[in-house]
Amino acid sequence: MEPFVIKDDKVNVAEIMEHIRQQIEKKKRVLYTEEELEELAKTKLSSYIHSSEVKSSFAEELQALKADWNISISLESLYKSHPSLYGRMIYRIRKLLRPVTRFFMNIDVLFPEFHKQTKLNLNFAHLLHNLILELTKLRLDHDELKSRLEGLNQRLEHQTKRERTLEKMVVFKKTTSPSKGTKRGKSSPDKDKR
Amino acid sequence: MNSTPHLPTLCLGAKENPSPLRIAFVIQRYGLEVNGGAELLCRWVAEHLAKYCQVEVFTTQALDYITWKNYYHRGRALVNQIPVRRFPVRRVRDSYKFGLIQEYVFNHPHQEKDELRWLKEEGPYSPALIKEIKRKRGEFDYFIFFSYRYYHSYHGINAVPEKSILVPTAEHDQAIYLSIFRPSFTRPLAIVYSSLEEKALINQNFHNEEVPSNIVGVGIELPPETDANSFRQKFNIPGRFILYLGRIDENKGCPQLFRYFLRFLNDTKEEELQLLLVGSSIIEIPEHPQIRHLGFLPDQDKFDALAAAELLVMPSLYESLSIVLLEAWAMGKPALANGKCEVLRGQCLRSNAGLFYTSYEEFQMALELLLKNPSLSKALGKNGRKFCRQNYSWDIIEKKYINLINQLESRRKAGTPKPRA
Repeated sequence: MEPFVIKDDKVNVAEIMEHIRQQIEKKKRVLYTEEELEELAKTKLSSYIHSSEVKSSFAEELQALKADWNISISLESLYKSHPSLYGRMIYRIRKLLRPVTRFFMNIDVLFPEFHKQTKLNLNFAHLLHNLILELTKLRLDHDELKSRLEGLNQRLEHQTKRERTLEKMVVFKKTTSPSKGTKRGKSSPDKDKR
Repeated sequence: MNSTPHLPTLCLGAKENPSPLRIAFVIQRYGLEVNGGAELLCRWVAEHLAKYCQVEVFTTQALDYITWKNYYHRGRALVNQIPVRRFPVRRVRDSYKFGLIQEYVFNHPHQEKDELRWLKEEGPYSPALIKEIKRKRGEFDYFIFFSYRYYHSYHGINAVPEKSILVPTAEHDQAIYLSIFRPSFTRPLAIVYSSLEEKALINQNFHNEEVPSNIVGVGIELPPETDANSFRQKFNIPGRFILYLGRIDENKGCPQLFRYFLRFLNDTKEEELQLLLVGSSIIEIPEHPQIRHLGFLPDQDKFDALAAAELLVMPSLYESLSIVLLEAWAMGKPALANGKCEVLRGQCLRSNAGLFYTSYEEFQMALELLLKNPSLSKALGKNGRKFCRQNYSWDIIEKKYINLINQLESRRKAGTPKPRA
């Protein structure tokens, strides 16, 4: 980045931001900005998630790497019930019977596993997010390369046609008389210029 | 001396409290332990206005904003010499149920009753607080409601519109587009905005330009001394770092900050620079040697951290006014803020004290520019300090509140009809 000169301690944030934007424009080599890429990736992700199967905000949450959708369970939540009076009563009874349930099974062993699963989910979400972003970038690169290839193909075809025409002209020139050849000779440089 | 002793201007600068003007502050949570911008703003304003009039706070017993579970004792208490009345929250918030209703109300066509249900689920559901406001309406001259989006403000303003002043602390999120809030912005006697952008957002949404208002904000007070070296020694941070202060939360833009910072390290091969996070976390923080989380710190440590930092980074998308941004500027530190938040962007441009970003490319360039140009950082910091001194000293904030109350008092005495609903 070009150095930014500060004169007499006077700075103008609007100017600096403009300078930054110009620098980014100069540096930009791809068709899309980072933001546009993220938007495209989001659209791509949404198309994978069928709205009837998953709640509407899921794609957004996953895209934002929000952890709300993830498993969140504690020992206390196993005993909890609705916050009504009846629910509170149920909660107390469950708590009272806790030693009994613990006698029959070891619930505590579940929580480290849940924690592992939560971390794994989060890692998968990160991975999925990055993969989709990468996939979108690659697809865009692919599209761009494809269009460049098509362009090159067209130019190649054109050049080939031109080459053939020129070759024919050379052959024709050799076979024609000198007087006719002079006429052709005048027109051929114009064709070359094209 | 003025001949109208009820006017609080008479007491401006007085240490005693001879004015009989009585003001009630109504807020969702109140206490020294409470974290949150609006709550802090309310406490500071109440403590500062107590010099000029009789102040009392009406609030709930809640401490945390996720469940609103009753934590404090019911009834009267004194917090920094300010009388506080706390009322019970009748039911804790069921996050799952609230999430479902919010998803529906924010993303689907709905009716007003659905929005009211959303408001009730959001809480803090405390009918006793509203009942008490109605009962005490005759005892107070004004009720100042903080945070428009909660149960207490909506129902409180409807209960005492002729005496209410609203400090909305509104952010540009989906709640601002809910139709039930129209009366909250058109019925109060006056509105105290935190920033120019907040005012513009509310005016644009509710066309309430005729409601008397002022853009006030908050006063910034710094500790008498800060020590960057002692902070570095205490937390063993020898190198350069950028600082994030506040709740580490999705809504504060932290996941994006982590992504951008890690990518910045990867792109620039910076091996020394650290991202230091100060505040309680409710999301996962990436495990990386150059990202350090120090947890919640006392005020002195927080200011020492600011003194030692290269800059403050503020990635939040939703703000009505960022107090930490102002604190960083008051300390002479530049800021790097999320430019997608109109308030932060506006503050950076007005103060000429911070750069902002709307994409990773801008984040990278702005951060590099600040780290590699000490003269630029210094000049931005100097501007920030000047901006805070000129706009956010407590003298100025107090005067703005007093002037607004004076205007309302004059209107009341002149019998000017209050703005209609």
